[in-house]
Amino acid sequence: MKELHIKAIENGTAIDHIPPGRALKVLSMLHLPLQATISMAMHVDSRRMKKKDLIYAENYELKEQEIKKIGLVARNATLNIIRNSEVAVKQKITLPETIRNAITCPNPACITNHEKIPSDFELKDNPLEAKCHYCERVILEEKQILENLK
Amino acid sequence: MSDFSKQDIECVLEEAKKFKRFSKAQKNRFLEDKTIGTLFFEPSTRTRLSFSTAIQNLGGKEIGFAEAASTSTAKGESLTDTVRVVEKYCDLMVIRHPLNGSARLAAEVSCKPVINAGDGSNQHPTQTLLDVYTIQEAFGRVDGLHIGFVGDLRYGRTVHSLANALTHFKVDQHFIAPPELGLPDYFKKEITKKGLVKEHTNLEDTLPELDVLYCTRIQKERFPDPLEYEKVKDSYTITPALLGHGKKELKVMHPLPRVNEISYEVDSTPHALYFEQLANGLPIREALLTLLCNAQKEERK
Repeated sequence: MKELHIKAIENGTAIDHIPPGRALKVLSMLHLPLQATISMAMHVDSRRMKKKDLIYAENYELKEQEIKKIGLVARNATLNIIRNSEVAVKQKITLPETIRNAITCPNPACITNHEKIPSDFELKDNPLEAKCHYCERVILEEKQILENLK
Repeated sequence: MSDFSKQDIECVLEEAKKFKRFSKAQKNRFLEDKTIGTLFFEPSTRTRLSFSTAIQNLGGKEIGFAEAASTSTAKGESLTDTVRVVEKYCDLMVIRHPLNGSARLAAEVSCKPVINAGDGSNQHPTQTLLDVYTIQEAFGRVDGLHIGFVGDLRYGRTVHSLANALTHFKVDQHFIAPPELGLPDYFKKEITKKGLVKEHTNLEDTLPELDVLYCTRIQKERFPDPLEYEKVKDSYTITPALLGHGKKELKVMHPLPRVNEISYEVDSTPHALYFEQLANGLPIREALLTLLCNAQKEERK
C-alpha cells in the first residue's frame, strides 16, 4: 500500500516534486490566505528525485501568478488541482518567461525601488538569470534571485 | 538602447545627415504646432541645450524644467504623476532622471512618446546615436574598427549604451579600466554574447590597437562610497605624449564634461574628435524629434 505522508485533500492544490528543502521557500513566497489549510512534507523518498518536498493547500486553488512564482524556486515541480478528490488539472511547473512583482530589484538606483510600481523581470534558464525590465540589471546567480524574492 | 535594431540606428543616422546639411530656414517648420516637454530631473548642459536648440530650430515650442527642485517632485510627487501631468501639455517628452529605468517607466505611463535623455547609470541613447554618427562621419564606416573605452566603465551610462549599440556592428571592443571601474559582470556577460570584447588594465599597451579611444569622466555622483571615488579619481589622463603610442589616425572621443581625463593640449591635435562629437548632438536630436513626431502623425492617420 502506498504510504501517505500527508492526508489526501478533497479540494485544493497539491504541489509535488518540489526540490528537497525548498518547500518552506515556496510557502514563504506564496503568502497563502487563511482559508487554505496547509500541510507540508519535506525530504520524502522519491523514485524520480530520490528526495522531494510536498505541499498540500486544502480549499485553495493556486492562481496563475502564484504558479509563476513557484516556477522560480521549484522548476519541474508538479501542480495538481484537486476537485472532489479527483485530479482536475495536472501540470508541470516551468520557469516563466517574465514575472511581475515577485523579485525585488537588487539595484538600489532602480526606479522600481522608488516608485510604487511592481517589479518586472525577464527570466532565462540554464543557468538561471533574471533581467530587470526597467534598470536592465541582470541577476546572474540563483542564490541572489532567491534572496530577493518578495 | 536595447530597443534599437541596427536598422533603427541607421535610419536615425541617415536622417541626421540631412539635418546637418539643412539651413535653419529649411528646418524651421518640422515641429510647427508641436510642444515638447523637457523634464530634466538631473543637471545637464549639453543634452538639455542641444534638445532646446533642436526644438527651436525645428519651430517647436518647449515646456519643462531644468531642475527637479522647482517642481512638485520637491514636494514628494512621484515620477509617474509628474509624467501624467506633463503629457497633458505636450506632444512628446524628453526625460533625464537620476534613477535607472525611469525613462522606460515614463514611456509606459505616458500616451505620448518619450525620449530617454539619460537614466542614472543605465543608458543614454541619444548620446550613443551621436557617438555612432561621429565615428561613421570620421572613418566613413563603423565596421572593422577597434574601439577602446577608458574611464568609468562601471557607472558610465554612455559606455553601456554605446557598447550595446556597437554589438550591431563588426567592431572589436576594448575595455581598459582598473578593477574598481571595470564593466559590471552582468553587462560584460550580456555584450560578450553578442560581440568581440577584450579587457585590459594598461592603456599605453592597448593604444596601438585602437582606432577610437572613448574616454569618460569618473563620475563622483554615482559612487555609493566617496572613499572609493578618491581611490580611482585620477586613474588616467590622456596627453599628447600618451597618444604618441597610438596610430596616427587614432581619434579621441568624450561625451563631456571632462574634469582632468583629457589634457587641454590634446584639443589642438588631430586626435581630438570630441568637439565635432559634441556638435553632432544637434542634428541627431533634430532627427529624432522629427522622426518621432512624424511617427505620431502616421499613427493618427
